[in-house]
Amino acid sequence: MSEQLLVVKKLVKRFGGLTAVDHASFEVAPGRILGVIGPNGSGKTTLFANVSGFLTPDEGQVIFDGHDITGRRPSEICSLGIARTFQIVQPFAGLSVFENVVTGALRGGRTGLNEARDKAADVVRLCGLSPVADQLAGALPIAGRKRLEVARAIATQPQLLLLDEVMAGLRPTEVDQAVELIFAIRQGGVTVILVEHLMRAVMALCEELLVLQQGQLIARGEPRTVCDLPEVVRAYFGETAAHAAAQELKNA
Amino acid sequence: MKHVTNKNFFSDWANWQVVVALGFVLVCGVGGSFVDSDYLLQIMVLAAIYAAIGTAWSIAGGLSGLLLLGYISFFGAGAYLDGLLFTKAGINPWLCIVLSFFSAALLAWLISMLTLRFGLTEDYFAMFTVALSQVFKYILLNWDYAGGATGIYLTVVKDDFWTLSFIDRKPYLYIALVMLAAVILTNYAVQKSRLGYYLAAVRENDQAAEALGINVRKVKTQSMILSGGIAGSIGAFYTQFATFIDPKQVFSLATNFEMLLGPVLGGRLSIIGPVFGASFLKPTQDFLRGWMGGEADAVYLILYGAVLAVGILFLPYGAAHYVQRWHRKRYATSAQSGTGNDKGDLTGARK
Repeated sequence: MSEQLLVVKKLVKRFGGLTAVDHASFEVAPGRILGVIGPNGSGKTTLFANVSGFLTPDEGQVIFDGHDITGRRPSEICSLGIARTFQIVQPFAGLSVFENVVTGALRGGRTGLNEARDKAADVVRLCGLSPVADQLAGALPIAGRKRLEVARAIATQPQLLLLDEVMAGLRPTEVDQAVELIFAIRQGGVTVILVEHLMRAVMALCEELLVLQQGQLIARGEPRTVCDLPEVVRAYFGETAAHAAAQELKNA
Repeated sequence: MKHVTNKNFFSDWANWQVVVALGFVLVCGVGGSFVDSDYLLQIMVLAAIYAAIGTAWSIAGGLSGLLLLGYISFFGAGAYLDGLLFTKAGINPWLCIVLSFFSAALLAWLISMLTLRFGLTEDYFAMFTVALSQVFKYILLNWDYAGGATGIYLTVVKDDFWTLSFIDRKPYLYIALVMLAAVILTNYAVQKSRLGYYLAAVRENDQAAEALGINVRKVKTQSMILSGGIAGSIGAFYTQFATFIDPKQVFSLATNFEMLLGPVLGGRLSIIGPVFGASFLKPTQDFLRGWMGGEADAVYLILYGAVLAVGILFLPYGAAHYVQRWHRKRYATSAQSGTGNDKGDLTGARK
């Protein structure tokens, strides 16, 4: 167990009568790219929010790199090495792209200003944001904002990066660039968990998939296999399709 | 390469501003030395005090984006602490200015703990701070030891730098201007430091700031402590200068909003905004008062409302925003750094 970077144990989050995350348990080994998929409202973003500290779980535990981080402040969790992006991008609109990244690179005070600027310049280049570095973040088109969201997160030099639908709304060529970028980030030694609807990207990137449905983990495993599982097909397409898929699987 | 290494010192917006603001302070000092009218000097000192207060406010109320509407609590607390320590205990006024900084900073810390811990933000935070300033006013109005409604009188008998007492008004102007310069430099240092980045991040989007490892509550509290502490020191100086304070004056809501008008209309994210804002508005008000008598206060209050509303609607970043646009255009060609950015203090990044 000590090999694992992140361990989530029986995590429960309720909103009134709705259980958004229902006893979810999983773990991630360092250096992996793990995908989390599931229909809309299945609790993917809530799961991220619980891990990154923006929500406090009602039950269960989140252990990161040996530390119990359940219910800690988001800034503290970031300092320990988990960075996240937001599904709805949250740039510092009034600051330039470069300043946005510098803010991340300061790592909550663990890096000096000059060093942070150097680091930010590297990250800006890696993320292909150099041409717009001086522009106001608020003026960027959506693809640029998504990339800025990733740039700011990796500028904090995390061990674990949580990407929440960073490819939604991108054009196919932009998706390819994003996939390349994520591979590059992993190459740098960062473990990645990504929530994504775009199956093309998920299939290309992930070594392992988690499938959530109504807050419960219904499947886990190698992407191809997981996608063929009847319960996964049922979650997305309903009973009839699941039945057909099961038949097909039996015949094969 | 996009970022140019070798850039003119003045192409940085913050650098440009601090030089202009300090230059203006110097001009006022030199100009003031030729002024003989006590009335004019009085107005100049008050303008310098308002400019310093406005600048100090802009650290919390501007940079960190807190809706710190009831700012006069810190000024009043400093003023009263000085009055009490000086008259009751005979403590040296210079020491009082320092002590007032710490006690007002402590008050700011307490207010931050109370409001931020219980999640009071935006309008609730604003209302809380305004209400609190009035609570202080009524406590002091009913506190006989502190002079109650009559307030506190300081008697000045001789010129003495050590006890901060002068028959003439001119030394007060010099001291006020030195204080103003110190506050301007503090604001500049904050904007150029890491804290400046955190404040900008918190102001723009506190959730994203928190996700990047910035402790939002801590950063807001720091800005409050600094901003409140400075206001306390200025309050203490005000007591020494005015030689008379009462609760209705140093905790007055009208004065409170007058103090905020400079930074709000001048530009609360800028360095020059609060300085020039107050330097223009305060004398205007005083001249109006001299010209129209008591009526001016009523008229001015109506004008305040109108000017504030119009200013906030049409000048959300204050007049300094237009200066900044000019500045960006002026230096964009020489620096070749594209569009530049709103704060401008980072475009000179290396590589």
